[in-house]
Amino acid sequence: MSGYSSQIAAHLLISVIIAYAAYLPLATGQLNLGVASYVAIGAYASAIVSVKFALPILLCIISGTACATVAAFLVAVTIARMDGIYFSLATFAFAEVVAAALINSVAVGGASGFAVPGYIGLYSIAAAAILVIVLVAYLMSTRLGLVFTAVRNDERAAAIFGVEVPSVKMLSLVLGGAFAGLAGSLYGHHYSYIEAQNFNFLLSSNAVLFVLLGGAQTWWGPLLGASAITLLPELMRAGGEWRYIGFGTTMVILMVCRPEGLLTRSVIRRLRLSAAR
Amino acid sequence: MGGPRDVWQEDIYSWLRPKGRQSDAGLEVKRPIPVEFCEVALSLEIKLMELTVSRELSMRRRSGQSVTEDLVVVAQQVINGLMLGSIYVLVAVAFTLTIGMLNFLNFSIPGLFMLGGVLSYAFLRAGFHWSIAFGLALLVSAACSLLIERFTYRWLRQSSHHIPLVSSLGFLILLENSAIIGFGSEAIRYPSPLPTADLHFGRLLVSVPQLLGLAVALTSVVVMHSTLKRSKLGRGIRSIAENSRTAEMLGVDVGKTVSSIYIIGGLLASIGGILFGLSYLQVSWNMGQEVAAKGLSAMVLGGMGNVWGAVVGGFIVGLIEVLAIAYISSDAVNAVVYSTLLALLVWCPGGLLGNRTSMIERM
Repeated sequence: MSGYSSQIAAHLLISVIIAYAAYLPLATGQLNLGVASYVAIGAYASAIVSVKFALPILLCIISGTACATVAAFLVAVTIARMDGIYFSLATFAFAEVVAAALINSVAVGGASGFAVPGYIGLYSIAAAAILVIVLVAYLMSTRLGLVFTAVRNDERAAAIFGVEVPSVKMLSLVLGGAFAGLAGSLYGHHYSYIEAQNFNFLLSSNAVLFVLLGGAQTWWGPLLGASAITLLPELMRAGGEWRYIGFGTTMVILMVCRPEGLLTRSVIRRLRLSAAR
Repeated sequence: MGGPRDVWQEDIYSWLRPKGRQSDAGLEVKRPIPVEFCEVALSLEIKLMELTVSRELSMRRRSGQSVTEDLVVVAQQVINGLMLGSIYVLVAVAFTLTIGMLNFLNFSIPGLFMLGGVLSYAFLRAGFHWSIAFGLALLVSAACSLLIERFTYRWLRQSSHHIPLVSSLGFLILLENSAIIGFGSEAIRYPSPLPTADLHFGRLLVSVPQLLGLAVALTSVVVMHSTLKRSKLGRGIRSIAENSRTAEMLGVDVGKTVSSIYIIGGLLASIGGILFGLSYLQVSWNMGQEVAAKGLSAMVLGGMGNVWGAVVGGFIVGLIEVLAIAYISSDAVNAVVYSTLLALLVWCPGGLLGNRTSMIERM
């Protein structure tokens, strides 16, 4: 593979994992606008562990993921009682605080970034991405997936049927945080360099867009959304600055025509029917 | 091929939307902690500010500066904070209108803010008199806001999902990238028609554009508020905030009323953009982003959906920012502002001045 295409492939795979990090909270109806904070925590934790203790990369990645999971758990406990827009704003504020703290901490390089030892190649990232996709697909096929959908569609009704809504919501947020941490540690070890400025609001909003444009109803949606949003600007590179005009227009038109995202449950059902025929 | 950073940073910027229409009784904020705690939290924060200021004062005293000198410094910071805050006020009010009335956070407001600044620059450069240039910029922004309404709220009414979020984000990308195509990605010097002279009040320094900005910001909020309070349109808007279906049954033209909310929000945001250009003498395609994030914090600080809360919140955020720059460091600004926001959301989500229902009563 050429340097260019392997760069794109690595970016795409990490984007897919980040898309699933945003997808799980959205599957229970929570709009997490702070995905970037968990990515940053994962990346920095993994980098620090590998510098300080020189552990094997796999352990570094696991500890990065674990740190992000713990952070997500703490956030989830703190803002558990928030709803709707307050939840989104709180995750947004948390992400800004994490970014500001990282930029201000001299120990991890501050604004000038942090060099990460230990390189992992494209195939490991691909393996991790496939693992995440399989995990989410399995999760959504179990009873828990059903519970997620129930909470998203109607919290009150789900509660009446015995679903413990607060803990389900917390679980989805924490799992999303774990995926984000995984993506962050992979990112750091692949590019060998992390900067706090990279984990900004653009990343969080992109993560949400992956899911909402792809469709939040099924687990296929984030995969499609992440691929489309990562690859389309690359394919339209010839368009120069105009490609983002095209991108914005496409987004508006897409939302008018397909408000639930590209892939909805009914589309998949229709595809299955036509395949069966 | 740039690094991974380019690919992530190149495009999108966004705000947020509630996850659906919440019950008509208002935003359902569970408030397990009584109001007194908010007061405690706020007074703690003020104490903290006082502490940093007094530490600074004692340090200066030791270094031989007089106390009056210190007071002048503090007063100057407060003035600067209020000036900065006046721009946040406009953006926060623009946000709070769509949140309070339509329960939808309009992501395109940073774009409209930028449009005000960049278009007024373009018209000034084209040689128009400043009044015509500003008028044209406001007109175009209002028209854009109307267009955005067609593709966001019109569709929100049919479906309760995240469509308006994504489409207003799409409009933000459209607006910002049109600005890049039209004016380049560098910051542009703003040809201010105002004198850049400073006024001296004793030993305090106030620049003319900033003073004007403060006056214009406050006047536009007061004018908007008092018109909405008296006019038929204002009654319509309040009835929609209460319950849009009932309002429609009682003969309120919901479509028209919602459009006017968008126009007002767009106008306020682009007035903010023009004032930003006048005060800081530069505009750029991404000037709305940071301001909008601070405006959002101001809105939450004051109490979501409350116009006067947004005004108070805007000034407080301006003050916090200026004091943080003066007494901690300029890198710490975001940390201070957003940790305040986070703490407030956790302990006192209703903000300083009540919630949505209280706004309906007050307007």
